[in-house]
Amino acid sequence: MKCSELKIGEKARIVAIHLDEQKQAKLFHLGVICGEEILCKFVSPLHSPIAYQIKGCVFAIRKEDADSIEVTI
Amino acid sequence: MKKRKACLIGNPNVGKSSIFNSLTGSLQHTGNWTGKTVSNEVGEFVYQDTLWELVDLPGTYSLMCESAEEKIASDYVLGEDYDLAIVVADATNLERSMEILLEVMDVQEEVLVCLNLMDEARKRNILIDKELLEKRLGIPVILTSAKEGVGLEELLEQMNHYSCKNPFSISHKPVIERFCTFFLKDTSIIKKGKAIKYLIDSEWGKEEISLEKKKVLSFYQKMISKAMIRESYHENALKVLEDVIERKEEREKKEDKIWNTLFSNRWTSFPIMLLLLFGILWLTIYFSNIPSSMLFDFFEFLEEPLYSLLSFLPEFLLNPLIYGGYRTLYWVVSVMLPPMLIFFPLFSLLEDYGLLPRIAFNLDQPFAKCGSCGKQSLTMCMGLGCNAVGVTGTRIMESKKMRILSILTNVFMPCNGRFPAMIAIIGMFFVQNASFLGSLYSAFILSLVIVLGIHLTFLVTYFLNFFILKNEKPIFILELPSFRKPKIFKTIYFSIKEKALHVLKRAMIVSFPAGLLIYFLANVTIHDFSILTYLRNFFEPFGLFIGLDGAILLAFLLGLPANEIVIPILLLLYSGGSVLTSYESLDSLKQVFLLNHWTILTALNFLIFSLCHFPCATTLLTIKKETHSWFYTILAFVLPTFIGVCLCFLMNLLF
Repeated sequence: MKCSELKIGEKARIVAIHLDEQKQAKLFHLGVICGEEILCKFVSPLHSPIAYQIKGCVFAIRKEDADSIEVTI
Repeated sequence: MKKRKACLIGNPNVGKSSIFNSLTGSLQHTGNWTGKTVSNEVGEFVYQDTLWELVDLPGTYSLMCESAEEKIASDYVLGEDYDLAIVVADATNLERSMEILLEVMDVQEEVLVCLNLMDEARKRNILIDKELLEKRLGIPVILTSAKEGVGLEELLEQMNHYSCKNPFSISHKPVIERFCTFFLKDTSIIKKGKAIKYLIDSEWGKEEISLEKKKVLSFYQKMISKAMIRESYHENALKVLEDVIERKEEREKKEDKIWNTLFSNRWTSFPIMLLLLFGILWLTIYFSNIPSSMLFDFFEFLEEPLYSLLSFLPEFLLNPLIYGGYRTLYWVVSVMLPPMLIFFPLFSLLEDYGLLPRIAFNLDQPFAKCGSCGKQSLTMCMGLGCNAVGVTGTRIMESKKMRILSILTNVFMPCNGRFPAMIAIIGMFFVQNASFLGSLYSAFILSLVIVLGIHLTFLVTYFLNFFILKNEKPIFILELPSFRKPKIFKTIYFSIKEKALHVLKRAMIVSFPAGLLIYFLANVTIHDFSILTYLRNFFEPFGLFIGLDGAILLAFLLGLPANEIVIPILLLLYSGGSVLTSYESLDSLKQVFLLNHWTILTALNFLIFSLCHFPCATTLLTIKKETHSWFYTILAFVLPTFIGVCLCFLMNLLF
C-alpha cells in the first residue's frame, strides 16, 4: 500500500521508493530507506503535508511524495 | 602558545551552535529549527596552552549534498586546512548522524565525536553504549548536553590531548574500493573520501588531475552512482551501530502530544496561530507605551545640558548636531527600543520552543499552490523582526525560484522599524482611549494589517510564480523537532543582545546622518523657501491623487535609510519649522495631523503604504548581496511600491 494511506498511529515497513535520485537522497538522510519502519504521526489540517516518524526523527513530506513510497503493514 | 584550528560539523539542529557558543562565549543565536546557521561562524578561545580557532559550519546530512549552505560545509571539510574535525551527533537519533560522521572520518585524520542532546536522550529512555561505540570507531566519543553545559570540559580536554590517528577504516563496496586505490596511487592522500569527492563532483579540482586520470574518472563515474556510495556508508554505519543503541519503549512527551493534536486539527490550528500573532503584538503594544514616553522625557531632559556642554562649537555646527542629529537619534531610540525589547524576546521564546516549524507545516499547502513551500512562512516570521534578516533567511529554501519569490515578497511583513509608526497611527485614529481595552483593539487592528500583508504575500507569490524562472520542484521535507523547553533567561538575554540591540544599532547608525541631512534640507533656503518645501510641493499632486499627500510620500522617501524616522520627518514637514519638534502626547500629535487635513482615509492609506512600499536601504543591499542581481533588487523596490500606490489609489477612489 501507499505510505500516504497509513492512518494516524499506524506503523509499517518501507518496501519500495519510487522517486528520482535527488529526492531519494534527501529522504535517505531522514532514514527513509527500504526495510525501515515508519509511523504516521499526524496530518496537516489541509491534508498535506503528512508527518511521519522513523526511529527518533519526526518529519513532514507532501502527500504526493508519500504516494510514491510503498509500505506493508 | 600553540595555535590550532577545529571545525564543528553535523546534522542541522543538533546543537552545533550551542556548543560553539559555550566554547567561544560568542552570542550567536540558536533556534529550534533546521537551518538556523546559514554561513560559517568563526570564533576563538584559549584552553590551557592552546589558542583554538573554531569554525561553526552550517548543518548538513552528508558531504554529498548540493544545496548552497550544505555545500559551504562540505567544501570546508574537504578543501580547507584545519587540525581537528568535531562531529556533533544527535544522541536521540544517532543513526542519522552516522553518515556524516563516517564521511568526515573518511576524509580527515583527527576526528572527535560529540554526542549532544544527551539529557533529552536520557529523558526519552535511549541508552547508548559509549565504550562499544568508541571501540568500534577508534576515536574518542564525548557525551555532552551543551544547553546544560555538561561534558564541555571533557570535550576541551580531548581537543587539547588528541592522540589517536583515526584507525577505523571504512570498507566500501568493491568497485568503490578499486576506484579509490587507483585514484590515490602515487598521491600523498590516503583518505578514500577525498577520492570519492572527485567522483561525485565533476567540478572539484578539475585543474589538478591529469588527463589520464580524468578518463578513468569518467569511466568510474558511469559505474558508481551517488546512491551506491550512500549505501556503502550506510552499511558501514549499520555495522558500527550494532548493539550500541538501546531504545526502551518510547513514550511521546505529553506536551508534544497536546500540541500535535491542536496543530493538526482543522478547527484549532489556524485560530491558535492567529492568537499567537495577536498575543505577541498586544504584549508589545501594551508594555512599550510607558517606557517609550519615559525614554523621551529622559533624552529631552538631556538636550539642554548637552547643548551647553558643546556650546564651544560654532552655531552652524552645533544646531545641526543637536536639532538634527541628536533629536532624530533619540526619536528613533525611544520609539524603537521598548517594542523591540518586548517583541524579540517573545519571538525567540516561541522559536526556541519549536513552534515555527509547525507553522510551516500548516501553511505548506497554500504556499505550494503559489509555487513556493511552507518554509516561506519561516522567512516571513523572521521578516516581522527585520526584513533584512528575513531575506538572508531565505537560504533555507531548496530552490532558487522559491528563494527569489520569498525575497521579493518579504517586505509585505512589516518589520520592527515600521511597527511603531503603525501603532502610533492606529492609536490616534482608530482607538478612542489608551486604556487596556484600547491596547487590545490596537493589537487587533495591527493583526489585521499583518493578515493583509500575509494575503498580499500569497497573491504576489502566486503571480510572480508565472514569470520568474523555470519551474523547479524539489522535494519538500520539513523536520519537526520535538518541543524543547527554552532556557527563559538565556533566551531573553541572547535575543536582546543579539537581535534587538543589533537592529537598534543599525537604526542609530543611519538615523544620525539622516537627521543631519534632514536638518540641512529644512534649513537651506532658495528664494525664501527650504529645499524640503520644494520637494514637498513637488510630491503634493501625486500624493493627493492616491489619497496621501506630498509630505507623507517625502517622509517615506527620506525614510529609506531607516523606516523609523518616517513619523519624525512627517512632523517636521507639518510643523513647517526647521527643526524636529518633540510631541507631548498622541493627542497633540493627532492635532498636528488633523490640521494638515488628515482623515480616517488618510490614516488607513498611511497604514497600507507603510505595509507596501520599498524596503529599507539595508534590506535592499541584502537583496543585492543574496541574489547577485540588480534586476531583482530593483524589482524588490518597484513591485511593492507599485502595489502600495495602486491600493491607496483604489481606496481613494472607493471612499
